[in-house]
Amino acid sequence: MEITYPQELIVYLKNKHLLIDTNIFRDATVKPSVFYKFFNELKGSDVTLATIDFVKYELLKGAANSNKYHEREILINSIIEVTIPIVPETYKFAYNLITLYGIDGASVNITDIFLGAILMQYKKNICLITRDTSDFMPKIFDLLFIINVPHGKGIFTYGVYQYRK
Amino acid sequence: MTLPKAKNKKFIKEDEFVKVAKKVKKSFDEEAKYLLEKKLKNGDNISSRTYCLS
Repeated sequence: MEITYPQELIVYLKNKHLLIDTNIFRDATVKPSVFYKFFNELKGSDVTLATIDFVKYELLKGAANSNKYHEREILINSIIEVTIPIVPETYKFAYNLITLYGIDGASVNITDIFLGAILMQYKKNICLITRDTSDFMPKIFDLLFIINVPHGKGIFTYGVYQYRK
Repeated sequence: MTLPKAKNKKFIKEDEFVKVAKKVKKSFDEEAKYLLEKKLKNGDNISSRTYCLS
């Protein structure tokens, strides 16, 4: 099985950063031989694979012992090339995003708020790939591409998002 | 503030990646099992939600 995506995806992402959400890392452990090819194709096309510390926390918490924690670290670090720091300006974007979401933001988790804030901060230089397609609202973020990955019980569907302005 | 750049392009080696991914998947499965058992033991655990205590 292969990951299916439009050819324009790679062209569009060239020389940009692609922010990776928690669920992508988790799904990569289900289909590692499929995902590693996709990640390498992106890396080979001058796409910088990135994440934020909040995503790392979500992945690392719950590791039963230091050995398992270390294994999770190896997995994360083999995929990503940079961790984008949360700087004081990012917090301002996070508050702004919360305001824009309004009541629709009540169920959005804090990691998704900061992923969205990073998209707002770096605008056209960065996109996000996520399976969590309900927390990145179309009034704020454009859904640029849809990526499908067949698996044993169905299809994982991911969205590639970018801040609209 | 500009986006950080990758210091060097490091491609993923399939064998190593598949090996660690299998270990991590097992670890995630153990975690999920632990959480399910805890939930079944403690019920819905509403009291642990901080916003319900305020």
